[in-house]
Amino acid sequence: MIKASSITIKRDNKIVINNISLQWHKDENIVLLGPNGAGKTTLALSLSGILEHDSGHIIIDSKPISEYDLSTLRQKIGIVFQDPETQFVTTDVEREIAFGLSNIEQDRKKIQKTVETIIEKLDLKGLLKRDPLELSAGEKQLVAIASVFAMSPEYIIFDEVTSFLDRKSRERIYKLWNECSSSMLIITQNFEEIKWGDRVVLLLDGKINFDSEIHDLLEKDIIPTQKTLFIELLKKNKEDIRNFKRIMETIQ
Amino acid sequence: MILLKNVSFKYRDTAVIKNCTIRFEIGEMHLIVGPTGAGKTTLALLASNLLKPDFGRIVISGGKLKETYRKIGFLFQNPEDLFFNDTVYEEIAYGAKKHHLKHVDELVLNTIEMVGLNEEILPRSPFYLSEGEKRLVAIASIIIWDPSWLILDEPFSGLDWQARKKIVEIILKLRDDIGIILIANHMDDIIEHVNLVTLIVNGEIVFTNYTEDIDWDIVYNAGCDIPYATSLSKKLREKGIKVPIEYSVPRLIQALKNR
Repeated sequence: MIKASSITIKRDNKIVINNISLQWHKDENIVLLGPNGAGKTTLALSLSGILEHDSGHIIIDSKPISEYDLSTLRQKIGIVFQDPETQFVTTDVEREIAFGLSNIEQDRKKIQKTVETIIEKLDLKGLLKRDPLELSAGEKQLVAIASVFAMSPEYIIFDEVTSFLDRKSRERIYKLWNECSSSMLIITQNFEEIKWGDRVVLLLDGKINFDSEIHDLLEKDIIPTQKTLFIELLKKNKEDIRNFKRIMETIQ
Repeated sequence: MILLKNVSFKYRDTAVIKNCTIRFEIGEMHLIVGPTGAGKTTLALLASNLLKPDFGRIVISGGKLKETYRKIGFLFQNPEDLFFNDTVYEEIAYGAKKHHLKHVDELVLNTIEMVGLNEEILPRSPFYLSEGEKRLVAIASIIIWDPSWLILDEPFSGLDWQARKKIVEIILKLRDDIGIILIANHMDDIIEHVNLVTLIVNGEIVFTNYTEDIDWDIVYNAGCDIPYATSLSKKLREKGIKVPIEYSVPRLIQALKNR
């Protein structure tokens, strides 16, 4: 379990994360929602040990995050960023996927096998010899995800990694990760992705606005995603609420 | 008009666009959809004359092809990565100066008003704005020089719904006078305003059709997103509620009312 207690993070003297406590259980998928600037990425960076927090504690499997060495930490928790280009270090896709793994694993055959499995499952065969920087935005996202998959961390954070991906690729990624029985934290602006979560957390102005199990939040109704959309809209936009209500009234 | 006729294009050995013919018109909003790596961005780059085709012909009506940079504004993916000025003012004014326009100060003021930004933003650094503001500045830096065409490659990506709504409002203000070519995976924000949709798969155009005539099953089966209202109307039909398959929420509401 990853347990964050009373985390506060300041940037340029501005409080970005304001006293957040969050428990992320093993084998639990969390969908983290919130408008731009709410602090989603900052929280993700802090949970993955990339950004230090100003106060509070983060404990991963009963050990403070600061006591992990980097390579053990990366096997515990992986993160894929919005802009994957910043993550690339090699000049072809195959090496890119193997790169992280070759830093922790010595057995070449083992590395090769892991890489091959991922390539097949994410359907990346056609891209193997291409330069990651020459790919389309969506393909870059796929390669960045594959290279973090190769490390098979116990927890993984996807920070809006599917913004350029088609529906099928998105589903393939989340399905593959679910099969690996790992735990995801999905940051997204696409409400449809809520279906991959066990829990939804809404972040507003650096605070957790609500944190709820999916089955508490949604009925197994016709339009589950719309319900959550509704909750967010509730705070902002009267016109859309009327639209939503009209649909719901008409259906019932 | 922008016409691509039997156009093919390769990146090194990879054929990305294969014998595509497509036509865009002023006054139309044309959405290009397709799976990851299908060639959407490449097609848009060809249409804007930023890439030269290996085969085929590109016609951009009214003037010479080499003057197209005066006509076509291209909003790239993650356009904020391309900022290079110290202030928002300079970032927006750059396009106007590059096109040798006069009264730049006035143009900048008009443009920021048009995109719904406040004057106070002008002296700030474009690098320290909110994601939504950055995208609006990127759009302002293009529309300031009044292009006849606007190509928007994933203009909504990474933005929350409020920021996306602002961009839709700008597009709607411009749409009657210019041609808009749009690439968007998630089309819910804009689909009700789109005239034509082209599906491209593996470098080939599967169809171009009017939005109301589209068989969304083909789009879905190609691995792409479909409008939320379309999947909703399907689910309603499965539940025995008779509604037409609609592509926009307002149309669906209307259909439900008329039932």
